[in-house]
Amino acid sequence: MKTENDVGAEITEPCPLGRLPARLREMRDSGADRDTLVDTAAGVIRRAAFDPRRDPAPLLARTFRSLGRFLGVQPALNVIRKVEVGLRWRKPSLAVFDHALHFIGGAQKYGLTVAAMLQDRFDVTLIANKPVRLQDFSAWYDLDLSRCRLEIIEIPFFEQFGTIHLDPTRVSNRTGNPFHRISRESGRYDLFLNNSMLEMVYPLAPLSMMICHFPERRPDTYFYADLYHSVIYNSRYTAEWIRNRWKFTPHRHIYPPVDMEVYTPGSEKKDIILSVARFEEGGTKKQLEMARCFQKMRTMAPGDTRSWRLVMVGGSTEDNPYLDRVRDFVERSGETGIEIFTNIAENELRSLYGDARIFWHLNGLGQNDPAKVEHFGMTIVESMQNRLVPIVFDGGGQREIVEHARSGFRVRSIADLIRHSMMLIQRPKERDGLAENAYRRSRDFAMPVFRKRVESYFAEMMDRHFYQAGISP
Amino acid sequence: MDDHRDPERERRLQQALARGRDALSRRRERIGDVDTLVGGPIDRHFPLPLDEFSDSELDVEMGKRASRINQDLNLKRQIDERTHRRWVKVLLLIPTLVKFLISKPRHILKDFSVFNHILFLRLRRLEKQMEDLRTDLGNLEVERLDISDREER
Repeated sequence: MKTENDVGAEITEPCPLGRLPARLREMRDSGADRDTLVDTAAGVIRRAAFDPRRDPAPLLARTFRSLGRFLGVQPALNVIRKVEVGLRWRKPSLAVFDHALHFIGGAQKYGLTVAAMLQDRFDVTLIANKPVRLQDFSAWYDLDLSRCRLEIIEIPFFEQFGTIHLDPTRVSNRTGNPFHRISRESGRYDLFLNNSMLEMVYPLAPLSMMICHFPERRPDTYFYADLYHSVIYNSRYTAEWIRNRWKFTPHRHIYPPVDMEVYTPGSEKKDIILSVARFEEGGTKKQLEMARCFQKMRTMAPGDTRSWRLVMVGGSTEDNPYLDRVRDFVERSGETGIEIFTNIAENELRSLYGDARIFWHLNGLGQNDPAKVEHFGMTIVESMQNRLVPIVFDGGGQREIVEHARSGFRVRSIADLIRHSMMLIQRPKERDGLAENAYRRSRDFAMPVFRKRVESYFAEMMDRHFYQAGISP
Repeated sequence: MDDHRDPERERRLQQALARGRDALSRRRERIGDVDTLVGGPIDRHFPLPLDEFSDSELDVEMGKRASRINQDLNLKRQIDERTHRRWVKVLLLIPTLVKFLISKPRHILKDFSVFNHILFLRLRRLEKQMEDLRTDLGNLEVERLDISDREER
């Protein structure tokens, strides 16, 4: 497993360029890994570049040939990349890869936001596997990616299944690794950022980073996640599961950016309990339970809940049996206070966030599969940014957002959900106090915080792997 | 280092590096597999810690194994059924038969063994869940009796 500090050997005594191959051989024999050898070579070439006693240019061709033979072609290329970028002779190149870039998703928004933030410092290329356009990203995520380039690299292996989703579980040691097309491509950049948590892409760039939103699969034949120089994780919950499934400790924690503040303090709110979650066919977001719960509250306290509505919003496919079940239940129950909206426009969603007072999120309730528990919970933060009081399931990344009884409530059962909701309905003063705390808490996950962390971390990594690599005293 | 910067020398160096990069890039394009590119094997063997798997992971693994076993047992599928000439069929059959007799039994046994291990684990977990439910039911029964006692009193 690589650690963040694996940045190569530091040259303690000057090594003339002519002696570099011999020095590398000695280092390899004493157990140095490939990265260390690459950094050492880059450091020696950089030092030679400024040695006033001898012009290194004539020696370089021979040196590169020998590096190619000794280290392998890709590591030798990486030496050159490290020298060029390390001496600031050119802008570094960055590839952001995501095999699901053609879908709208929170993980994709995360990676593209990083790309947008870095596009002035790097020559950024976005790599997708299915047709998609830069304009789509702007429309879906409201991001300016105008200085990025987009490259579509199709993976023929998946065409036979005729599905729009490239399902990595179809890959096994019998099929070969179709993602090696991307592995090869990664070697054409100075920094390769895998935003897919797709552990089957072997990183060839001189600096490789992965953003892991959740380790979905266990290590198998084509597992290379531990070979990336850095693995960024979106929540402590994800980090715990990376340790559990992938057996290593990831490197840097950066919460996803949330930018949904529309409510202006002082404007009137309505008696709305809001839920924003996709209508998953397996029912993991628990909209049915929420509907039942709301109906129960109406029966228990008709007076207090008369003016209240439950509004459930979420994305859904056209033919969704789970959504039909929820709609059936609402219809049969005769409950008029429940409204369901699917695939609504962003401005409508913003308006609901501005109006509602309470937010429900039960993803993870009754679930024993950790992958199906919320890994972070962006919609919870969105609600908090608009001064809703969140009541969420006590598990997964939700624990890291909501401080129980301070900025909302974390519940483990429907009974708890009803109890806390009734309290909030009956005591508006306490509700307002909690809403204010929720808003304060939400600032920890706002865009400026994300930008600061991303920019400083990438600057630190570039410094360590390019600007200082192999030359630090 | 910057004290010794000489623009002319730097230009020559940049050119030397560019030439090196081009030469290596051309070699890179000719190399087909990632192992050769990095100068060593990249794939590793990882153990399968079935005991640590969640129920849904076990289900996925079980499905994967079952599909592989089916694939291995289905000898007919491996011959192109559109081939009508008998002698071509026979020729095609030879490597398939060799594979079937030598490597397939090993794969099949391995997959069966994992499949059975998963079945066993799922069974044990279901037994444990049933036991927990029995205990909960027993507790509820006691509570119910307590309540009826109190009501009678």
